[in-house]
Amino acid sequence: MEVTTDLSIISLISNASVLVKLVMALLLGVSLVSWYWIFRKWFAIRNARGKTLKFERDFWSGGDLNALFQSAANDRHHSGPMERIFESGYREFAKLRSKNADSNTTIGGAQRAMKATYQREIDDLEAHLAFLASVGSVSPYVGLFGTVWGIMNAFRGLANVTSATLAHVAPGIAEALVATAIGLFAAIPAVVAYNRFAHDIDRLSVRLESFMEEFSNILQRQLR
Amino acid sequence: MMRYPAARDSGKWPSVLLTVLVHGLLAAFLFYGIHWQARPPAVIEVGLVPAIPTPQPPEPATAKPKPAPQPEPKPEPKPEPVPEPPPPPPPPRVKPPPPPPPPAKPEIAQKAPEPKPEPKPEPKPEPKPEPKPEPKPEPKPKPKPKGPTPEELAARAEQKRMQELLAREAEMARQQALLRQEALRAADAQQAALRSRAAADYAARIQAKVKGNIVLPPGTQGDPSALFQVDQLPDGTVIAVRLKRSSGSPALDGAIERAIHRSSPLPKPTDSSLFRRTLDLTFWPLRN
Repeated sequence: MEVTTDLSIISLISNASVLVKLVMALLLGVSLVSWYWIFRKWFAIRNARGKTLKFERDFWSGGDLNALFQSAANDRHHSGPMERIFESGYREFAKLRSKNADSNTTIGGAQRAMKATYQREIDDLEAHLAFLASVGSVSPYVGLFGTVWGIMNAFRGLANVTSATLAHVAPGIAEALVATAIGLFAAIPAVVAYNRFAHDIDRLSVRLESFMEEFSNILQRQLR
Repeated sequence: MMRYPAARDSGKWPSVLLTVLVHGLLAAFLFYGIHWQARPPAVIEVGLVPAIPTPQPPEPATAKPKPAPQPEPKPEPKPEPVPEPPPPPPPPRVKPPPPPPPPAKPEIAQKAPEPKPEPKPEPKPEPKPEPKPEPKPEPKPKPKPKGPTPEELAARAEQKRMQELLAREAEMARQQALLRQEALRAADAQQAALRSRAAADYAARIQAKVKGNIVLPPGTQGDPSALFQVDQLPDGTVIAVRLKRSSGSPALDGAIERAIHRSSPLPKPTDSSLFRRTLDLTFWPLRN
């Protein structure tokens, strides 16, 4: 081991043992994917919330249900979850009413259609949140594993040296600790994002559910 | 119900971009933001190792004067009994002089107390004075408080190393001195034992010789003992005999005194250092 150990991040990573390098690569990949999903979910949730707000405004401003339905059906590629729930519920309601089903059946059918759409929407929003949770809880351990392995190697190298100094183990330990650092770098944003997104989705789902109830009431009134 | 793939795909490429951006930022931060200790102290070139203080250990090694004096074997006492005039009327009771069993009591006065104080003062002064003067002059250069140039740093490191070396050597010397002291002490103890044995032997020989010359007055009984102080010349000639503790019978005291005078050249000690001008001798004329 040279006296002048270069401790730049590059040499720290390139000098690490193979297993530690694998751990680092894995953690880097995990970090990339988790950041990707963080941004995707962030955009998706922000989008869904914005559209829900907009649709709520439109809906409670007292416009015609038919007109609303038409605009939602025409513009379904850019509609939000609440709009889609409204669309599926109203479509089912219109179909059943045209078949002259009794009121309970009509309302029940519309409610089931809305429930199905609601669940699909929530499922879409919640997709990949579990991945973030896993990254947040597991990647520190993976990084720690790499660190422990690297430190083990560093100390094993120490066994062959007659005069053991800190300088013999310090580079190895620094290398190994890089694994923990990467693991933490992957985990912390994932945990924060997971908590934030779970909270946002909860609020959104509450809003959607209450809209479903209220819309059922409106449909029921229309049947009379 | 149909899915809406277009809506699901929203924000895919921005996300990829942002992800790459975040990691790029992190990498840049690790690169430039943190001062990795890329350069070592940068000052390992100094080449001044002029005066490594030579280790002291060899020097104290010579200071080992003690173990020489060893008691010589005893060749002298043999011839002496021969020229001695045979006791004229040795009463049958007097046995030939087997060395009387009484252990050397206070007969021979103190034994030399010199060996003790000697070893102590000797090893101490050695390790002390040497490490002191050296570290002193070295720390001087420090007060130059200008920015620690590499040379200075190196010099300081070198100094530190030297001091450590010195300290280690002083420690070694100290331990050696301790060891030596211990060895000396052990030797002393051994010598003391030897000397006390020699002293006992000496006293026994004098007593034996004197006892052979005692003419016991009639009617002596029991186990009387008398303490005499005898002055002698270096060759053993008796100069004066003083009675210090009577045996209780003046006749017996007189007989013993005469016997001491008669054994005039007293036996010499095997170890000449045991010789004393004045001896305190106890006699048990009736004891074997």
